[in-house]
Amino acid sequence: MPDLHLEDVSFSYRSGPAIISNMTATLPQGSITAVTGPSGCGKSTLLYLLGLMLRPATGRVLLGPDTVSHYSDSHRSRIRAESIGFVFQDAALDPSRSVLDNVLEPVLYHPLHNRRERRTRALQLLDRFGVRLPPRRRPGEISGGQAQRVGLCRALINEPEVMLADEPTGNLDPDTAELVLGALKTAAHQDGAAVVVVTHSRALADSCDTQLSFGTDPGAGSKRVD
Amino acid sequence: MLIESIRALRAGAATSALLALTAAAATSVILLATAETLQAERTILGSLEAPELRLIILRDIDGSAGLPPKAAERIQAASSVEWAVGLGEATDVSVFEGGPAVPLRALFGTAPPPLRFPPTYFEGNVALGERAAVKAGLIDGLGTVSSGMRAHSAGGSFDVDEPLGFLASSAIRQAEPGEQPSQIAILAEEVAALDATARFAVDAAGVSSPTRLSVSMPDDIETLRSAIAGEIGNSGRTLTLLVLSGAAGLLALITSVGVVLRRTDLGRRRALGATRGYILRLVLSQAAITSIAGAVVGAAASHLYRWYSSQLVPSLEFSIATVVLVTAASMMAGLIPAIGASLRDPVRVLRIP
Repeated sequence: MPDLHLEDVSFSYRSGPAIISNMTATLPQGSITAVTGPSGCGKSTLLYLLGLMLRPATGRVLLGPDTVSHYSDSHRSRIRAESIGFVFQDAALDPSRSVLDNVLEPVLYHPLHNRRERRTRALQLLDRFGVRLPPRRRPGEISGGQAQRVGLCRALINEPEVMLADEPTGNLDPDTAELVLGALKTAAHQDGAAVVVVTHSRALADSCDTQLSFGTDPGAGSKRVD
Repeated sequence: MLIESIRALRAGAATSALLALTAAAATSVILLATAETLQAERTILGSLEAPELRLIILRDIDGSAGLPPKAAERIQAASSVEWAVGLGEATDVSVFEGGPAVPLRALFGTAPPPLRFPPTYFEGNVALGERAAVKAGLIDGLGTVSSGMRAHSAGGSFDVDEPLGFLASSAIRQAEPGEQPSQIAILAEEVAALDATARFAVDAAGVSSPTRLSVSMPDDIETLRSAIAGEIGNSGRTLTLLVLSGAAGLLALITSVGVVLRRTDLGRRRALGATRGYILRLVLSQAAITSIAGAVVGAAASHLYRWYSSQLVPSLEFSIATVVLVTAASMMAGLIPAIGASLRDPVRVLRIP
């Protein structure tokens, strides 16, 4: 699996001040990187840049040798579907789908995958992360911890090369947070994905392989803590 | 995509129902208004097909045209002619010398449907129209009338309807060998065929001097008919356009509201890899599905209502065309909200303050 690189990346929203300035970093495959810093410093923005939902004003994002940030919107969407898994802070499940269908949603946007095979994988993932529920149950009928684990299964369904998690344990009890962190570590260490976790949790950051720490001054850049 | 669209429709049931309801209402209004317009048009145009507006009279101007006795039979052979009958020159007859005179005419050919002789009448007799019988003073038209030179047995009163109503004040007898008609009354099948039938009648009459024939028929009925049909058609089209425009505006508004309500759903899909094209297709296919469903229900309800109230039911072809039109309008109305949805920045939706 390829590494994820940021090369001299700057970004600002509209005509506002720079949120990220001339940032260069490598997020290696098979490791988990924590992005830390105070609120408003650009952690989530960095995640969206890595997830190809935003385009850097200057610089570029590379996935292996490919400058993916310069691709067209549809090409970037395809890469998101094929190679990037997202874990959102609030799980962001679709309330109209069952738990199983939520896990399978990214397969809709990656039509090359065999749906039956993915369904088996989805059931395995749910089992692996301890979501032992009737798969037809709706998100409104499960706990927040279970919802976050379903979100994690959804991020892993297409076997992504990059996993991006935005405060994945922010709303969870310590046991569930541990389980989610364990799953992210598994994705990095066993499956070889480049995992990036935005977090305010010192404990979670300390348990990651590397840290990318933003300062208090937005746009002042970041420093790497290995 | 179809399954996804249906799933999304169920998730946004309120906006889907509103969309379908609007499409159903638009379809119903168009179909019901068109059916009403069509019915009114038929009634008006039907009144312009009254027999008196389809009557052509060929008249021998001064007795020199030479209308042959069989002229009416020849003219009647044309498919555009409902019937034709020849009438001779009128001579005055009265019950007694110096009494009230009524005109007596010879009839050439078979009596046409509007002219009904009484059972007491037989060939060789004279029959009097109702007004003629009253004027002559013959109760039931029975008795004798005389022209001074010749007496005729009167065999009763005949009934006559339009367009031969003018004969009600005449007496009639069958033509005798050697007599010639002075005019031919011709009923065309339809107003649209008046001109052609009149031209044919002049040719088919077989007169020795066609220039001595005059042709009289209702003027410009066909023009009036076309003008009325055109006006009614224009009104129908304008109404359809107005309804479609109004419905399209409403559909665009509802679709926009639906897109705003679903911004989290659409943002999540984009984050998970859905392309802009996918979002565009998703929103448009939802608009299409709800419109088709609504329009079909609207069309069915309109048909049922018209059928139940025994009124003119719109044709199946027109109903299908209306469903297609409403669906197309709905999709066009949904295009701008769909483009807006596809261009929406997913990050703005996903960011949690």
